[in-house]
Amino acid sequence: MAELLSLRETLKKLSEAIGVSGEERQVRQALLELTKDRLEDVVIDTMGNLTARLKGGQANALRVMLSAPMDEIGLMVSGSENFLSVLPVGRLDMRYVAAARVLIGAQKLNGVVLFAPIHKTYGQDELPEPKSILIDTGGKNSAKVGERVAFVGNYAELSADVVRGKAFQSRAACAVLVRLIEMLAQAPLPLDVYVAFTAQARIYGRGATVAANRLKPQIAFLLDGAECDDLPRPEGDTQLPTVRLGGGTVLRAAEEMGIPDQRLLTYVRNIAESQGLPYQIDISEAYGTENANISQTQTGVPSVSLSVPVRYMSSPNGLVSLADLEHTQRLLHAALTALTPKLLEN
Amino acid sequence: MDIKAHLKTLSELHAPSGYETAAREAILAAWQPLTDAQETSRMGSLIAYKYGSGAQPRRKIMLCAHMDEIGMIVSHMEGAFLRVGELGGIDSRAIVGKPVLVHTRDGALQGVVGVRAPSMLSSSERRRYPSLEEIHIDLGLSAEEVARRVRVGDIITMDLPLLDLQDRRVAGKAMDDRACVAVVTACLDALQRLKHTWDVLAVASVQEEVGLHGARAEAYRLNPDIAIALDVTFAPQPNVPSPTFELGSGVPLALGANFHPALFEAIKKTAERLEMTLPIEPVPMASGTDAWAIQISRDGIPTALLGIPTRNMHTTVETVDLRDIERGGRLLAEFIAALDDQFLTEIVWDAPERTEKKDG
Repeated sequence: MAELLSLRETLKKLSEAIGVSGEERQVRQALLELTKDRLEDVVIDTMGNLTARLKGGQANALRVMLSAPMDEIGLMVSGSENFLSVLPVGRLDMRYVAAARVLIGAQKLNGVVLFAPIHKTYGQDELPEPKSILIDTGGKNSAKVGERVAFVGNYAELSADVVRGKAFQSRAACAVLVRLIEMLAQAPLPLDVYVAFTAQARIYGRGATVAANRLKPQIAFLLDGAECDDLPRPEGDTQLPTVRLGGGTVLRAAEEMGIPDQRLLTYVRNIAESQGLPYQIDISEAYGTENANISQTQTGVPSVSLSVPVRYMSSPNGLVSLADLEHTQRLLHAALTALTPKLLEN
Repeated sequence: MDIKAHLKTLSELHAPSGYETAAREAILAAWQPLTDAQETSRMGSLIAYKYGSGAQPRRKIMLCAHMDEIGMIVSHMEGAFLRVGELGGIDSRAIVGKPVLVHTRDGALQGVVGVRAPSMLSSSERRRYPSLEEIHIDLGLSAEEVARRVRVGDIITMDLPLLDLQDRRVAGKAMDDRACVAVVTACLDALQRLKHTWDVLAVASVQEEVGLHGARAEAYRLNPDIAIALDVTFAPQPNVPSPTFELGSGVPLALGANFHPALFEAIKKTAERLEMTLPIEPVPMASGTDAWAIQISRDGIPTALLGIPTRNMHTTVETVDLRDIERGGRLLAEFIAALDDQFLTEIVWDAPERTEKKDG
C-alpha cells in the first residue's frame, strides 16, 4: 500500500515532477505510484495517457470518465553550440521566459535563459519571439536536439491555504483526481468509473481524444485549471473579475473550442448550490480545456469541466488555493454521488 | 578556500541598497579570520584592515567591492497586492513570475512577481513587457492580512538560490557585486601566505547601485594612497555589443579617464610577471562603478578597476565563472605583495613629477 499523502504533499510531488507535453513519463509514474492500489485495467496507451478502471466499479452501471491532464508547457532543444536554441512546446507566455531557469532532458541539466542586461537594452520593451530564446548551460554542445526543456518552479507554501509552484493548470487537477480516487475507493458509488490522466493537453488535447475513444464513457467530468483575473487593473479598466483565487470551482459556460453540455453544467451548478460549495462561472473563450476533445469522440460524449482557479497559470510560479482544490474534489464527488442515467434522458 | 560555498552564501543573502546588514554580517564572518581589525562605517560599509609589515606610517591600498544588490521597495498597496518602486536598476522585464521575499517588521514573506492575465491585456500590451508600474507583488494573502503585515517602504528582494552550471560556472542573483566581494576574500586569503608591507583596506561598500554613495564616503575617510575597485563587466551574449569578455578568460583591467594610467601599467606588469591573461577593457568615460567616486575624492586617488565577466547582468541568473574569481584574487594579492616604499614614485603622469607627500 502506497503511503497516503495529504493534498498538499500530493500537489507538491506532482508540481515538481517534470512532464513537458509529449514526454509525460515522470508525472505518469508519480501518478501511478499514488493511485495504483485503487485501480485495475491500468493502461499506458499509445499517446502516453494513463487510464484505468476504478476497483469496485459496477459493470452495468453508468460508465463515467474522470480525467485530468498531466503535461506542462516547455521547450524543445533545436540546436546546440555555445548556447542551446529551442522551440516552444505549448503556448508560452513570453513575459515569463526572460532569465528563467530550466532543466534539460532526462539528465536534468541546469540551464538559464539568456537575457541581455538592461544597461545595453534599456527601452527594448517588445516581447521577443519564442524562436529567439537561447539557453546557457555553462558548457558547449551540452544537449541533444529534441530533448525537452522544462521551466523550474519554486514551490512554496505562502499561507495555510495558498501555495506557489509550476504546472498547476495540470497538476492541481491531477491532485484533485488522486484524492477523489482515494475517496471513491473508500466508499464506492453505484457507477462504473474510469480515470484518465491525459497526455498532450497543452498541445490541442489530443491525448484526451484517444483516452475517451478507448474508454468509451457515457459521461465525462474533466478537471483542469482556469486562469484567475482577480488582479490589479489599470485606471479605466472597470471589468470585474470572473475567476478569483479561493473563489471556488470554475465552471465554464463557454470555451474556445465548444460549448459544454448544458444539462451537465446546470446539474453541477445546482449540486454546488445545494451543497453550499463555492463556484464561479467563467465565460472567457481565450483558452479551452479538453472538453472539446472528449465531447467530440464516438458519437458525442456529454462532458463538463471543473477547473481549479490558478493565478499566473502559464508562469513557473503560479498560485493555487488548497481550499479551491478541496472544494472541487467535494463538488465532483457530490456530483457523482447524485448522478443517475436520467440526467442524460432529456 | 571553498570559493563556491562562499559565493553561494553571498549570493543568496538579502541586502539591497541601503539595507546591507545581512551582507555586512556574512562578509565580516568571512573577513574577520583573514584581517587584523574590522569596522562598520557611518554609512554602513564594512572595512577590514590587514596591516602590512612596513614601518609606520605605512602606505594604504583600498580594495572596494560593493555589497548591495538591486531590489524593490513597497510604494503602495492595492488591495491584496503590493505596488513597487526600484532600489537600483531592477529590470521589470526579467523578474516576472519569479519568487521574492518581502521583508516586513515581523520577518520575510514569500511571494511572486505578478502580472495581469493575458485576457486582461490590450492587444498592444500583449506584445510588450510590463513596466515596473504595471507589475505587482502577490503574497497569496488577503487584503486585510497584507494591510496588517506589510508597510509602505518595506523592501523586496528576489529569492532564488545559486545554480550550478557546467564548467565551474554558476548563476544567481547579486553576483553584481558579491562575485567581486568574493574576489576580495580570495585576495585576503592568498595574502595569508604572502608578505606585504602596505596596509590593505578591504571595503565592502554600500549603496553603489543607487549612486556610489558608500565608496564616496569611504574613499574620503580612509584616504588611501591607491585604490582598486572591483565590479562586474559584460560577457558575450546576443544584444550586448563588444567589447565583451568571455567567462573564464580572465579579469579585465579597465583603461580610460577614470583610471590612473600608471596604476594600470603596474597591475598589467603584475599579470605579465604571473603569466596571467589580462584582458583590457576600454572605458573612455564614466565607468559607472565605485571607481568613479573614489578617483575624485580629496586630492584625487590613483584608481584602477578590475572586472568579473558576467552574463545576464541585473537578472536573477547573473552568470560568472569561479576561475575568474580565483584568478582575480591571486592577481590582487600578488600585486599587493609587490608594493614597496618606492611604488608611489611610479604612479605619476609626466614631468614635473609630483613631489608633494600625501598626508598619511
